[in-house]
Parts: sequence; structure tokens; C-alpha cells
Amino acid sequence: MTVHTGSGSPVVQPQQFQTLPMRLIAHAEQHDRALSQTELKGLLAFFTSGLKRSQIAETIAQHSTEIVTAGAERIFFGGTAIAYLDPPANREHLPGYAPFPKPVEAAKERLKVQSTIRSNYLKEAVRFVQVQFEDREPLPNGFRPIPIWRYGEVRMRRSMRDLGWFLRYVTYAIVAGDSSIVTVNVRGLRGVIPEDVTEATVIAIQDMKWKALSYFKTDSEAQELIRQEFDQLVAEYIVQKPTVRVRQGVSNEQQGLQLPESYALSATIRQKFVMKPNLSVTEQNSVVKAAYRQVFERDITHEYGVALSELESRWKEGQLSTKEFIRQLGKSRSYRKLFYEPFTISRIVELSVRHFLGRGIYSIGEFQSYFEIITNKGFAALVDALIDSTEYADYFGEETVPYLRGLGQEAQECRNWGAQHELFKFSASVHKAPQFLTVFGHYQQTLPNQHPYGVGHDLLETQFGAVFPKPEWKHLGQVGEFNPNHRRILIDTNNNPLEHWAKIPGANHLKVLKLNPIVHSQATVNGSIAVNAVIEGVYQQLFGRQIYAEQRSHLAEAKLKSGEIAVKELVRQVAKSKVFRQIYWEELYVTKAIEAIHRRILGRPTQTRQEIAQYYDTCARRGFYALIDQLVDSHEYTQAFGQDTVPYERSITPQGYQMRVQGRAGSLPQLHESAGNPVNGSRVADGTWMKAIVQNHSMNGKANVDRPQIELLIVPEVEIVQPESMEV
Amino acid sequence: MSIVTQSIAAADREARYLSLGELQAIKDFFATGQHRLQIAMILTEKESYIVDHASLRFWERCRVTPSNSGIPRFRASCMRDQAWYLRLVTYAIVADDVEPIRVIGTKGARTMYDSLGVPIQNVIECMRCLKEVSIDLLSIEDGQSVAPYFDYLIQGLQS
Repeated sequence: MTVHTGSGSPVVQPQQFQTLPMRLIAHAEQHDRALSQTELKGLLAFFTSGLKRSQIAETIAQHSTEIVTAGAERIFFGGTAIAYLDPPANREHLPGYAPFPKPVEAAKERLKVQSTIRSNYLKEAVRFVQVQFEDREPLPNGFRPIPIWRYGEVRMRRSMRDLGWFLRYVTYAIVAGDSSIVTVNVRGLRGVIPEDVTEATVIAIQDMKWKALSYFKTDSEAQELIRQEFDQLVAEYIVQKPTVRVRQGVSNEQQGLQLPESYALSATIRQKFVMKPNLSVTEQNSVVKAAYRQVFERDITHEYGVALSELESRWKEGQLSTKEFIRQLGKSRSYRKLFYEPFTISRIVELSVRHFLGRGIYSIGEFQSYFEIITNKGFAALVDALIDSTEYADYFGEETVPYLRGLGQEAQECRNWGAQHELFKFSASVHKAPQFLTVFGHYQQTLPNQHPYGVGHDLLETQFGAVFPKPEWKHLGQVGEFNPNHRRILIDTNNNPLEHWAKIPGANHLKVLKLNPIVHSQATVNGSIAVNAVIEGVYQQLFGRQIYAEQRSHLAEAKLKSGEIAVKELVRQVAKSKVFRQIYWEELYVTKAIEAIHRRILGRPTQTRQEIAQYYDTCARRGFYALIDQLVDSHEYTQAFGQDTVPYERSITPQGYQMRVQGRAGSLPQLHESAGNPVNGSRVADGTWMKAIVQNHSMNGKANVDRPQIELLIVPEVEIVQPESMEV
Repeated sequence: MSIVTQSIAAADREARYLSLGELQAIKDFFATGQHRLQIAMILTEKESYIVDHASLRFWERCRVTPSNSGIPRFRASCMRDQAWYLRLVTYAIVADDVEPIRVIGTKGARTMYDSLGVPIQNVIECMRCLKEVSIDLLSIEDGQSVAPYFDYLIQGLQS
């Protein structure tokens, strides 16, 4: 199946680490209960230790250089390791800058940079030995310190940077009261940092710990906090590179996917509930609640009283497996009442896939197979099919309560996101319309007729730099996947496009002029007529009217007449003339100037902000003449007009059409009464006005009407070119 | 995001240690922590009292509303929702931040109530009652520090 559109994606902001309060709140929220006594006690301890935690962070930050030095000089010798630690970026004049008072010695030491000369090798060795005999942990047997000169500057810099970062993350973790920030940033590093320095890194971290602890010799509580985070750091560092989480593939439509461990780690941790007979009563109750929350989406025991108590007790006693319990819930009267009776069949399928498999529907094929089951055999059969599926067995087995397999739980496909995220929300059960089915439907539709801002990339009417105008209509919640080169066409092929173009007001100078240089060079009477027509065409295109004789570029005209320059060159000269500059450059601000000149020279409006943006640079650095050169020399110009064709208007937008209709109301065919006037733009967006035009004017209802490429014969020298095949 | 999360994220983005200003803000957060916990504990303990009294007050003010129509299911749902929102407020008090209310509570709540056929104005009135009853239980200063969370909740439901 070809996917034409996405279904929109939410702004996803994964939480990259947690703090103790946030972790506890997330946990309580998941259990659907208030913070428990133990949690409150934990929080209280966290808050009371707060002052201490911030002081530790402050002290470590203050002495960061010394601490990193302590770690480095244990594992490196033959130079000043700290010289390779890049100083932090100077942020002196930026907001929020408040420097820590720097210890003086460290600053001095940095001055003796790069003294990796062999002559003081002996001194270095003595120093190295001295360091080893301070009150640190002994080096492990067989550890060989790394000589700095052999390790190389690049690797030295990296090592020192990493040591600095480790220390920084430790201070964050101490303040946050949760080591997840260390875990997220450090786990898996072992696979990135070369294996031969693993041991050295661990030793350096241990020594940084030793140095950091030395600032809190009398304070056992602070020591405990520091030790804890450093130990966590080492533990995370030495684990092997974590494996990716794999989502099993079932078929071509449901392929296997991988989720890197770091993504899983940075998501909110979700507990999985498993029922076992030997659990305590409170634990069993929390598992029961989890099952209700999964299947009924909320805790229904309050609401309906206890209807399923017998089943529940059999489950707790172990007579019923979790799988069977979930099955019974699915077939219960309450489920039927809540999720079967109020919904259409399509929505029932979507909701039950959420409840029993913990995910959204992947594809239309999958939907159809479930739909078939429910229509042929009824709802109970659908529940059986879902619970007996291999997927259910793979993920939940006999004992686990199904859970939502959203972001962070497993890899997500890059489709159906909008619907999938809606489905996982608390409010999913109040949406009556089938959402996945709608999305699948959109995949197969032609591109939506929507306003470009926010959804597509249709050509825009000149916006005068207002890149984000106030939206006057509501966008549909789906995105058209098409780029600036796509054109949307409402098919009405019976009519001749040329005719329609003729009906567009202001485009009634239908002549596309091309000077035939060969014939032209033989100067004839006819020839001079042709050349004059071409010259007038150039002025008409560039100014929209004929200009006064004294404003014309006579020199360039003469050169064209003598065959010295081509039409393209004439366009360039006229565009660089004083009058053009005055009209389109001097009076306008830059965006408007670019938009206007672009339309004049290339014959179409600018398409996107990106397109304009590339001209900003030219305008700012090199000015007006360079902009003209850039446009005239562009590939698009050459392709569309070549050397000898006078530029012509190639495309018209709905808004542009509208403006012209309004501007010449008397002289032009009016829209049919019922078609109305799309003044406010809403009818432009939903495409109805275009349909009206198709009906009333038998105009080819393209959203952007591209001009047919046809040359009109006016004099013998002007060539006739076959029209290009129309895109339909 | 609480102040801690925020400062760490900012510092990490710029690859620097927490600045003195940030540490000061964090210290304040810690210093008021114990007190905030106490408020949260009072509200949690008195949950059923608050919900009962708020419901009575609500039904006095809004006589025509689904939960006052005598259908026990609607009545129970109304009280469940009140308890749920009260709990969100206690989360927010503990975290010293409105994010739990926004993320868990008010996002999409309006659509939900609309489609359930519950008039949103009544829900908001109900939350006002909840706020008043809760604040009556607390001292004046505590009430002042808790009120903004309820106000945020009410605003969130309105929009």
C-alpha cells in the first residue's frame, strides 16, 4: 500500500530524566492513587536534605577543575593532563551568568600548557609515583597508566571532556535526588568509548569520587550522597552496551522494529503488573485495579459497585489465569455496555485492540481481518481472537496484565501517530467516530484541498512578507504529504485548458512570445515587427504595462534588434534599469521586493518561506543587481523560458484569481450565485469555490492553474512550439 | 517541569554546572518543601470530607445537572472526578508546578465533558466549590498558596 499522507504527529517531548518528586508522582498517578505514606516520607527526606544537596553541587562545581585533575593524574602521566580540558565557553555577557569563584592554583596551572617534553620525564615519573601514594584506593594489578604523548591530543581532549561531563551529571543527579540522568547519559557509553580505556576510566571516576569526598570530610551525610551517585555512575558505565528492544514482526505490514535502550530509559517508567498467588493482599489489589484500568480505562469499581467480585476472587486464588480473567472482563456485561453498545463496529474494533493488545491498529489489512471476525461471529469472537493471538502470548503471556505499548515501551511505527496517541488518552472512549479507519481512508484519498500554511505547499499569492497570516479557517487534522513540485488538480479533462487560461482576468494577453533568432538575423520588415512585439512583451511582463518612452532601455533594445543579445539579456537589462529598481526595490522592504521581482521575472509566486530565505542572503550581502542576476541565471529561468522566450505568467493561485475577479467585476464572467464569493477564504480552503468554477465556467479546476505551454504565432519569426502534455 | 528539572535541563543544554542563581532557586524549592508536603497531606487525608461538602455546595448552586438528577452512576462519576482533580492539585502542590494538572488533567478535558454531555460550566462551578471547601480547611496563608493551582485548573477547563 502506498502511503500518501501521515496522520499528523503530536509534539513529543520525552522526559529525559526524572527528579524524585516527579518520579513518585508519576508512579502514584499510574496507580491512580494519592501519594502514600512511604512516598511522603521519602519526599520529606528529600526536601530536608535539599540544602545539603545544593551545597554539595555548589562545592563540586567550584572545585570541578581540581576534581577532574585528581582523576586524570592517576591514569595519565608524562604531561599536564588538565591542560587538555577545554575551559567552559565564555558566557560572561549572557543572561543568567554568575561565575563561581575560581581557585587560583588551577588558573596558574593552565598557563603551563602542553609541556609534554621528554626532558622532564623523570620529574613527571616522580610526581606520578607521589600521586599514587596519597591516601587513595590502590591501583588494580596490571594497570598501566597511559602516557599522554602517545595517547594523542585529540583523544586526550575527549577524555578530559568526558571526565568533566561525568562530574557535571553527578551534580545534577545529586540535586535531582534521582540518578536517572546519570543512567540515561552514561549507560551504553562503554560501547562508544574504546574498550582499552574502560579500566582507566573507572579508576579516574573512583579518584574523582575520592577528591570530591575530600571536601566533605566531616559530613557523613554529604559523603553518602556523593558516594551513591558516583557508584551509580561506575555501575552504569561498566555494564555492557545495552541491547535494543525489539518489537517482533508479524507480517509485511507489521514489521519488526528496534527501540534503542536510551529511548526506553528516558521515557517515564511504567510498571507492569503480574498476578501471582503468593502476592500480598495489597499487591493483589493493585494488580486487580491495573486490570480494570487497562480494560475499562478507568477504575469502575466505584462507579458500578462490585459486579465481578466472584471472578476477581477466583483470579486472586489462582484458579483463573490473568489471561482468562481479562477474557472474562472483555465478555462481561459491563464491557458490553461501556464499549460495545454505544459505538459503531469500526470504533469497537479500535478500542478493543487498545484494551486487549495495548496498541493501535497498524494497517487497513489488520483492521479488515478483525472487522470480518466481528461481523461474522460477533463480539465475543473478536475478544477471543485478540486474546488467543500469538501477539498476546508473546507480550503478556498467561500472567501479565496487558499494558499500553506506547512511546518508550516499544518502537513505534512512523504512521497513524495522531490516532494512536488519541487512542492512548484517557478521553479515548468518548470519541465515537472511528479514528484509525478515517486515517486509513485519508491514505487512499487524493491530496486534500487545504490551505498551504500548515498543511501543504501550494503556490501562494504574494504575502508581502506575512509568512504566518492569521488562519481564517480550521485545518483538517491531516497533513498532505507533498512538496513544492506537486500540483493539485481537480480533474476536469473535457475542456481545453487554454480556454480557461483565457478566462482568467488580467491574463488576456495570451501571447507567449519567442523570438526565432535565425529568421530574425535576416533583417526584414516582418522581422522588425516581431522584435518590437517581443520588446513590448518584455515591458508588459516586467511592469505589467507599457512604460513611457523615456523610461525604456533604448540601448538594450537596440542590441536586441541588431541580434547582439538574446531576449534573456534584454530582460536582465530592463530589470536592472533605474525605473524597475525604483518601482520594485527602493520603495519596498526586502521580502516584498523579493516576492514582487520573483513574480515578474520567473512568472510565478514564491512557494515557501525557504524559497524566499535563499534570496535574503543575496539581497543583504550583494544587493539588488545580484538578486536580478540570480533570478535570471537560475536554472528554472533557463528551463522555462530559455534564451529567446519572453517570460510569461506561468501560474495563478486561488487567491490571485479571486483578487482579479473582484478587481474587474464588471468586465468578467461572474460566479454563479450559489457558488458565492470566497472572500473570507474559507471556501478557498475547502475547495468548494473551485468546484463552482468548474461547473459554472467549465474551467479546469486546478488549485493552481498552470499555464499551458503554447506559443502563439504572430509573425513568421515567432516559432510555434507543440504544447506540452497536460498533467492530469 | 519543576524548578529542579527546569534548571538542570537549562544547564545541561549549555553544558555547564548549575549556576548560583539556579541553585538559589532550588534551595528555596527545598526550603518550602516540607510545608508544601503538609498541605498536600491535609488535603489527601480530608479528601472524602472535601468531596462530600463540595458536592453538596455544588448541587445547591447548580440544581439541574446530571449528577443531581438522581441517577447513582452520574452521582458517583461526579464525585470520582472531584476526588481525581483534588488529587491532581495535591500532586501539583508537591511538585510546586502546574504541569501535573496540565498534562494529566486539563488537556482534552473539555472535549471529553462535551461529548459526555456534561455542561462544562457546571464542571467549572463544581471545581470552584472544591476550591472553596479545600481553602476553608487551611490557614489563610496556606489557602493563598493553594488557590493558584485550583485557579489554573479552572482556567484549563474553561479554555
